[in-house]
Amino acid sequence: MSVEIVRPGMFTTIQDRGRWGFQRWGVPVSGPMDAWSARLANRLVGNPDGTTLLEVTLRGPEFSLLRDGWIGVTGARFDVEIGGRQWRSPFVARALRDELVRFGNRQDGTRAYISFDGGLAITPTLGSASTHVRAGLGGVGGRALRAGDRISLGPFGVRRLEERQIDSGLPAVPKPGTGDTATLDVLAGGSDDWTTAAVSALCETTFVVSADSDRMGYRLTGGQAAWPEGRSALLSHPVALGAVQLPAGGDPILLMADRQTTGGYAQIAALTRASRSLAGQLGPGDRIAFRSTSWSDAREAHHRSEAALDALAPEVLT
Amino acid sequence: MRPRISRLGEETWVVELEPSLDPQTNDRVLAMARAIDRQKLAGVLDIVPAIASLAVHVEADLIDEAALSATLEHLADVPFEEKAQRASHDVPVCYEGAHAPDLHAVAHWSGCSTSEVIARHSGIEYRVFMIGFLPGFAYLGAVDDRIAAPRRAVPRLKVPAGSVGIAGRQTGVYPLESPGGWQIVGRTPIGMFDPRREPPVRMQAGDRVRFVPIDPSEFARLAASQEEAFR
Repeated sequence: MSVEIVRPGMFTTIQDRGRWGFQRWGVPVSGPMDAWSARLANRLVGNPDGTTLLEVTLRGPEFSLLRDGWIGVTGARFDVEIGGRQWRSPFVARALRDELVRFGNRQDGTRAYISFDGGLAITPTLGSASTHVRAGLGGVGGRALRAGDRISLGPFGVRRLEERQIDSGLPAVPKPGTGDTATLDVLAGGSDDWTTAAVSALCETTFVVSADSDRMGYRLTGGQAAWPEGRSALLSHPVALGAVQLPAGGDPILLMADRQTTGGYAQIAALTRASRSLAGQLGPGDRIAFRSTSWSDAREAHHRSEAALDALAPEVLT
Repeated sequence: MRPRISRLGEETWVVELEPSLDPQTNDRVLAMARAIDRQKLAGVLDIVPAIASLAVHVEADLIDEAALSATLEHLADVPFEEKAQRASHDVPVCYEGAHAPDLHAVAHWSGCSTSEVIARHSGIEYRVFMIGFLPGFAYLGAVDDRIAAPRRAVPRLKVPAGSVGIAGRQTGVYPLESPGGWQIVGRTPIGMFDPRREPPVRMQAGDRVRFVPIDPSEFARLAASQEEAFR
């Protein structure tokens, strides 16, 4: 039993919780850009967090199931037609065998998640099904999906599900094309004078996500930031998810899911856990402002975002 | 110096030593990484040793911060293990023609002839200081000062897999086709990364590496026999 891809959408990849444990050998982690929404998608169809699903970018796919099943769609808000019925994500709905599931207009956000009850059955590479296109790892042949791909579904879920459209309790994301600014909380990457000066410069500027941004990272342009002098090339060192790198020439880089394992630029700050979801919903042209926060506020924001997720759909335990 | 411990966001802990391309410092980093690994702390996702620093990536909801912090604080006391059995690798490299697009630029930069660049690059036993950037990309050092040319001003959009590059005192092999700014002085036909293997990388941090010059026909012969071997 499988999913048959009729049209792949712009850039649709298979992701799970990521390929952790192999960075010492240079293997990047990957995983969903917006893990919060990916977890919601899985919970809606009765899957444990981290079950293998699809990540859609900007333009969604068309596909059908070769068995009756349930699908959950979260993240960027899309109009989705299932066998002629209209849905607006996030939702969980029944899709009958051979019914066409068709993604239409996108209201906001950049990346949507499509979960299937039982998940996608992909043989893991180095412990994970997550696709990393540049390294050719995971997913279907290490690449984005194409028309005609057939992806096996896992065994049926045993849980009773009901169709449901979610209208409240969701995080706000910038509306595409409106010039909204996304505010992301960061923790400073050090307490020395240089890092402190760099973080204040970062937080006093509004940036634009440039066109050459992808799952590896966002290059942030447009900032007239007053960066402190010095500290350009460092010895290569490990990098972190959500870290803000400052190259010698300015224009910081926000490291995302497919980031390389090490880098040579100073890491002046890193996103809080609670800010990652919104960061993962940004795309070229979106505006970002950074706000420096404290460790205790970061922790509280994380607990609030976990509580919001649990309120929408409790975690499914295996 | 004592290791300096800091945090980068809520889920990454960083341990730094004096930043230098120094084998003893790197030995300490590797010993520290093994010491953290031996603790088998719940919530640790990845331990990543680099040249003179390492990172521990954790799941903050699962990690016992006090236990991790205590482990990191005790790293200064980690005994300096002399790891005897380090693998050594002879890596065949063709330093000719299309395999070596930057050889002349490096020769020009250094004031050496191309054959002297090759002799200097292949005349040293290197140490693997770390694996990073791409799967199986080994950072080797230290390159002879005379040929330690800086990165290209404009990176290439596509560097073929197996390309051997110089970036200052570092040299390395691109395991996969990727964009890159290192000066490409040759190419090896042997693979550096294969996710089906355990471990998936040919070289590990701490290993020793020599480059052995081969001609284009030997390159072609090895490339054909390597098709299934390690790529």
